[in-house]
Amino acid sequence: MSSRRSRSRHSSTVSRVNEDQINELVSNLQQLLPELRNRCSDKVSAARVLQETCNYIRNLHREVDDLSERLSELLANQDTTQAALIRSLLMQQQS
Amino acid sequence: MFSGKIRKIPLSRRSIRTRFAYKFSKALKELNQKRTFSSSLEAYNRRCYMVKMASYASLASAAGSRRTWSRALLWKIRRNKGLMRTNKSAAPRRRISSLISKKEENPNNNGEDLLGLEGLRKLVPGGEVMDALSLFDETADYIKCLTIQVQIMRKFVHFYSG
Repeated sequence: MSSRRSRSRHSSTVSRVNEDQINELVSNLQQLLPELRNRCSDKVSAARVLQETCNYIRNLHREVDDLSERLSELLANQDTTQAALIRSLLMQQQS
Repeated sequence: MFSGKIRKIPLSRRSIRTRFAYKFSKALKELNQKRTFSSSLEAYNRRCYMVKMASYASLASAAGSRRTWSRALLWKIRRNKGLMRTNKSAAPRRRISSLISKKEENPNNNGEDLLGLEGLRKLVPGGEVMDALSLFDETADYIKCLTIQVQIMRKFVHFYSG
């Protein structure tokens, strides 16, 4: 009976997230951040890791934006150069 | 003979890197086929947007449906596409922006924000509805996949400009 009661009490704390689990997941995140990867994990606060995570994701999003822009430019140019090439070939055949 | 052997391995059993590159190149090819030859600023912006959406959609489908972030991302992209299609004549922008602002107005505050999770919730697709543990887990996976996405896209840029 007492064990059941303690278990139910335990489960209510588990739902509020175990501190060890959080620490493990935070250090897991820290390993993915180039900014903090080489720091000792107990010297960096969880809040700092989360802040850096947000910054890193924002940077990656921005980089995807830039690369998308460059790719769409390159593809458009590639097509116009191809079109120009085909046009010049057609002109040569006609003349 | 060698290339035939490579092709026999199903795409689903290849690495996410290969799956993303394959899906993204296919999507770019499709985009290029239905391209309009307009050089207006609007057409230019639209092309950039389509490439970006193709890239994220390829990433999400390469990551597979096991991940919450990839399901949420695909769902968001499809919904935006639907809105763009159905509201072409009406004012699509107003409707999209009103949806976005509504979402930002009610963040779920469970007292978890001591760690600053709200910022993450907004950045990771589907993060608004995750519990803290899965948010961490999904964030780690999302970062890994985003890094792969950027690496492969850089290779594409290098390939097309070379």
